[in-house]
Amino acid sequence: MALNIAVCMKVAPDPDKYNQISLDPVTKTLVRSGIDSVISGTDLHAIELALQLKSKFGGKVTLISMGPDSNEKQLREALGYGCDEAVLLSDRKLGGADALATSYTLYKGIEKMGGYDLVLLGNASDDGSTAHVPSQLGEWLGLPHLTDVIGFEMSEESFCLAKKEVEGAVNTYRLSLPAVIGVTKRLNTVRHPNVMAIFAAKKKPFIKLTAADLENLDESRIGLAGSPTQAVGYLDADFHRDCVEITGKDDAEKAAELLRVVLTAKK
Amino acid sequence: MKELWIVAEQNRGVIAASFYEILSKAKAVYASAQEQPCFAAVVLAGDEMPAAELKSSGVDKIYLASEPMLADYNPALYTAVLTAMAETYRPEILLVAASAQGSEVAPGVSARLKTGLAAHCTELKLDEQEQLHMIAPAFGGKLMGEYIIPTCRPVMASIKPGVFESVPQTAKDAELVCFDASDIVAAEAGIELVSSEEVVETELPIEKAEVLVCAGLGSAVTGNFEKVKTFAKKLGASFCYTRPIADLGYMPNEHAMVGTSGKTVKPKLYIGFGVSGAAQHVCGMKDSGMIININSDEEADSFRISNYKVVSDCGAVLDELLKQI
Repeated sequence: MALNIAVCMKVAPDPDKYNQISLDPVTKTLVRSGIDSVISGTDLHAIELALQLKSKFGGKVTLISMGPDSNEKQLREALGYGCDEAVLLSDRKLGGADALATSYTLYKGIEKMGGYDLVLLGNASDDGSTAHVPSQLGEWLGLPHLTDVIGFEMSEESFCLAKKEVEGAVNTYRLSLPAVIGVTKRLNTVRHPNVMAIFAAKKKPFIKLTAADLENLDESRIGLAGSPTQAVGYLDADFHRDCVEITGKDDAEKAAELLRVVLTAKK
Repeated sequence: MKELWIVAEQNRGVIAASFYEILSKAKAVYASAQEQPCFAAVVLAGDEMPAAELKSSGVDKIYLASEPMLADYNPALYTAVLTAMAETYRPEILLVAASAQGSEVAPGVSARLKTGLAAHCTELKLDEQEQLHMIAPAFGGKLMGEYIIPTCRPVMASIKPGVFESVPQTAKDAELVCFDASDIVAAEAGIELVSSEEVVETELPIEKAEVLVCAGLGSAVTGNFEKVKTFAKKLGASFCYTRPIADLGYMPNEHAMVGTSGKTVKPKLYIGFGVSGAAQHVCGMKDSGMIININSDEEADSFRISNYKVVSDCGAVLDELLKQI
């Protein structure tokens, strides 16, 4: 048996640099200059799971991403992890999409590629963090889906077992395949590629699809115009407090003063 | 009359606190609105018991789908039933808790209804036209995004638990509407619950703690993680941690994780060790009474939101604290 797996991957601003994001005081638009775009962190764990399954069952791992042409860089990087091919859905018409329009576009891309046994993706992106796309994609595809997955097992090709935390319990669900799974960072440890693999990735198939390539595309469901949720604007989230430094000649003194402050506040 | 629905999540038959928080906020938001909505609670449960608890909660209506198959959470069944209820009764607004269940069911429902959904909202307000605006953290809480759903209905939002205060409401004799979900739960869902391991919380939930001691990545990578826990215990405080602590496996679960993707806390006193002050963590604890941070990095962002700081190696400070306490 062989598994045909898709991993949906998002390219997002580097989360380590979020504290550099600011709002233009006049226009109230985002200022994010100098912040690199990276593979959204949780998606790496979806890639890791896909590669583990491929080595167990055989098959193929296809990366699918929606975004500008510049995403080729991060897709090539992801191919270096051991994925087999990459599909970029890139078109100006797709820009400004909310989660619903994004999931619809990914669904159309998956359909165009002929469908998969398993669709994996990071539960939430680093930037938007809505965690909406996995369930919405599952709904568009009409497939069983589970999000926030912390454990995953598969012993045969017809179904999988996926574990998630719910209120007051850890539940294990059995999903018939094909299925859509949103994974968390807790699922596995990502193995980073070596130099040879990164070089090999340069020759791997890279497919670019535009809106015109997607069959039976309902243009009222893509991009900004197809997004029911609209951002009105951004507000600064500045929670600054005036801070007093607790000092002392050594850590013993600092700790003593800290303890005094703590015990007073605790009363 | 336009209806505002709030999903009253039940766990083992008990209505979650988040329902009362969302109801309190929704009532406050519409308190001076010209057009008053009908406030309705929506319950999916294994029997009729949870609905009884809601009778005097202050809602005007209760929609109940009661089927043995709905006793335990099944995302596919919950999504299908809630969608069918919304298609039948057409609410104007549909609010759910951004809990484990709500965060999964809401997007599925929004995709089926082809409507918008604002995620993990921490503020709601009306504009002059009485259109609902939803405000939620963006970029891990560095900024707040403000959203509207102008054309599609229902307007959907998931609301972060623990953010809004639960205020007792004037009891009304709520009308009970029973929804027959038997056909829906009988259909093949492609997903079934095979086992459920109950997690018994032996400690006070961190949302209820007056004093919280928090371990950040800085405490763990320097090998001082256990000391933070010991200090919390000795101080009689509850212990919590940041996202990387859970992601890197220092803790087996996320029960006491604070941040946009974890719990929202407002203790009287918060003490952080080796907490960098990433926006996603700050968003979950910024409303604490007093904030103290201990960090070796003079430039740590956590200091910007602190009332007190100690600039020193947190291991050394912890050693002294444990000696002196």
